[in-house]
Amino acid sequence: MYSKFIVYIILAIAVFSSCKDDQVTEPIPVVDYLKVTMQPTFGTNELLLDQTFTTAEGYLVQFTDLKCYFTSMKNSSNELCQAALYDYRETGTLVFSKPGKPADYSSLNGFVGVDPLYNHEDPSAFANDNPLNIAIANDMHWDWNPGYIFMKVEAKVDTIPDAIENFDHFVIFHIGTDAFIQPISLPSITWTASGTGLYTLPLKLDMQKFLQNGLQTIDLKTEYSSHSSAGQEVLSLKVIQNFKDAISFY
Amino acid sequence: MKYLLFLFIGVAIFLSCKKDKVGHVPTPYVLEIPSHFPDMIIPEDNPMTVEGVELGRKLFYEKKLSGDNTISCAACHAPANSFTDPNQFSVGIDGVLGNRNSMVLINLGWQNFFFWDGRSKTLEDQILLPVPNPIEMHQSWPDAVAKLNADMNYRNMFFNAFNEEGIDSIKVSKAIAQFLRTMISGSSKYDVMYKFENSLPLSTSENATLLSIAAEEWAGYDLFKSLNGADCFHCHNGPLMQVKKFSNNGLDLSFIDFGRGAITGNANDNGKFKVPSLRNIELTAPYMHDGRFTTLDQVIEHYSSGIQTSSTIDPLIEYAFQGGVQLDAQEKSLLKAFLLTLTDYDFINNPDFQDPN
Repeated sequence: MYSKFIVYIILAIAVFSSCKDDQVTEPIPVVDYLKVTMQPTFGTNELLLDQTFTTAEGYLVQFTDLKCYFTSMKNSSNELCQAALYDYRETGTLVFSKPGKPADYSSLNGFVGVDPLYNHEDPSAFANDNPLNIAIANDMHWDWNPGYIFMKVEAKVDTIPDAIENFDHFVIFHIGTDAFIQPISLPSITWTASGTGLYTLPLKLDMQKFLQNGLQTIDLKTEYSSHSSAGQEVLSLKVIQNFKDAISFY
Repeated sequence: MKYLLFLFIGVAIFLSCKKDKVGHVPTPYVLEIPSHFPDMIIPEDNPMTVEGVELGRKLFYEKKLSGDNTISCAACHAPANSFTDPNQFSVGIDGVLGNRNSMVLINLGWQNFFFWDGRSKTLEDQILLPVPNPIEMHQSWPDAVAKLNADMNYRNMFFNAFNEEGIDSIKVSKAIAQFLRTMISGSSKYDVMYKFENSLPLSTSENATLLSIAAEEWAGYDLFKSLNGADCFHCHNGPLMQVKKFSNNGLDLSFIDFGRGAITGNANDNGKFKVPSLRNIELTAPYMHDGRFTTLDQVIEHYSSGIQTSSTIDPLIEYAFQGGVQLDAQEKSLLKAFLLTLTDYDFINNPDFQDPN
C-alpha cells in the first residue's frame, strides 16, 4: 500500500520537476539579399592586381590598387545602399550585399563617390559597420580636405619600350571633393538568382576603357597623378568620368 | 506514514539541491573614447571589466612571465618612452637581441593587425607570443601559469576578473588585452588641430589649446599634408595618425628583413612593414622597424633626400625618383614643430597606466 503510494509521489515529483516551458520556435522570415559585384577587366581579360597589361601606347602597366565609393544607390526614393566601399585588393569583387527584393530595384541610381550629404560629416560618427566610418574608410578619407576619396587608382608603369621591365613610373589618381562626384545610372537591371534568396548583379570595371574612353584618353606617361587639388581639375574630372564610364553590366 | 513523510521531504530536498555557484560578477569597464575617434570594437569573448583591466595592468608589469623573473612586458614597452623601448633592439632574458624595434603601445584597440609584419590579427593573439619566444621572455606558458597559480592574490584576481576558477594563458592574454585597450591617446595638440580642421566641436580647454598653437606648428601641419611639401598624410592621417596598411617606405634597395613578405610569401610584399601611428613620436625613438634612426631629424632627412627605390616601394612616395621631397632647412624645422604637437602628456602621465606595484 505504502510502496504504491510512494511510487505515485515520486512519479508526480519527477513529472513536475521535468516540466519546463517549451520554446515555441517562430518561423524565420525569409529575407532576400541583393548582391552587387564588380569584376575589373582589361578589355576582355579579367584583371588581377600586380599583373602586367599593355596600354594602347605600348606602356606596361601593373595596377596595384582599385577602390571606390558608391553612395545613395536607390530606385526612386527607395534606397538600397547608403554607402559601399569597393576595395578590390581587400574584399575582391564585392560591392555590397543588402536585403531587398529584385522587383523593388529594377534600376539603380546613385553616385560614384560620396554624396555631399555625407561627405563632410565626422567620419568617426558613422555606425561601426558603415563603410563611411573612418575605421573602415581608412585611407579613403582626407582629414585635411576634408572629405572622402571617391575613387582611387594606383599603378606602376613602364613607359620605355625596351623589352626590359622596369616599373619605376607611378600612377596615383585620388579623386574626391564635391565638384567631381559622378552620378551613375544602372537601368533595366536583371538580377540573377544565385542561391536561396540571393540575387546578384555582376558589373565590370574595364580599365582599358578607363584609359581609352573614346576621345577622352589618359596617357599614363604624362597624366599620372591627381589628388583633386587646385590646378588638377581637368585631369581629375577626366579620371573620374572615365572611371564611371568604365563601369557596365558584366 | 512517518516513513512516507521523511521520504517525501528527502526527495524534495534532493530535487531542490543544486550547487550554488559562489560567483563574482565582474564590473563592466566604461572606456572613455575621445569624441573624434570611432568606436572601439571589443571582442565578444573578452568584454572589458574593471577587474580584468586591473589584472591586465598587474600582469603587464609582472616579471614572473619571463623565464628568470627579470623582465615584464614593460621592459620593452616602457611608460616613460610612450610604451616602447628606447634601445634599437630589445634584449631578451638570455641576452639575445631581437631584430626589430619594439612597437609603441598606443590606441591598440583600433588596430587590425599586430607586429611590424602583421602576423597577429588580434591583440589577444599577439600577447600570447612574447612569453614563449626564446629571444624574449623565453618561458613556456605552462610554467608561466604555474608561477601565477602559486600566488593566491593572482588566483583571486583571475577569479574576480573571469568569474571562474583557474588560470591559463588565454585568460592572461585577455586580461592584458583589456588593459592595453584602455591605453588611449587622444588629447594632444594635434587632436585639437584635427577637430578644428574637421569642424568638430571643441571644449573650453581645447579652445584654449587652439589659441596656444604656434604659427610654426600650423605651418608644419600644412607641410605635412601638402603634396608638394612633406607629403606625409598619405600614410599618416586621421584621428589615429596612421593608415592601416603595410608599406615599403624606401629604406633600402634590397631587403635583409622581408617584413610582410615573410608572412604572406608574396614577393610584392617584401620590404613592407606596418605603418605605425605617429602619436607621441617625440618620445618613441629610435624609429623605423629596425630602429635605424635615432632622431626625428634623421627621419625627416630620410623622407627628404634618402629614399631608396626598390621594386616594392610604396607608389605614394611620389618623389622617390628624386630621393624624396627635398625639404629645405626651414621646412624641416616647421615639419618637426608639427610632429611635436603629437605628444600627448595626458597619456604618458596617466597614473592608470603605470606600474601598480
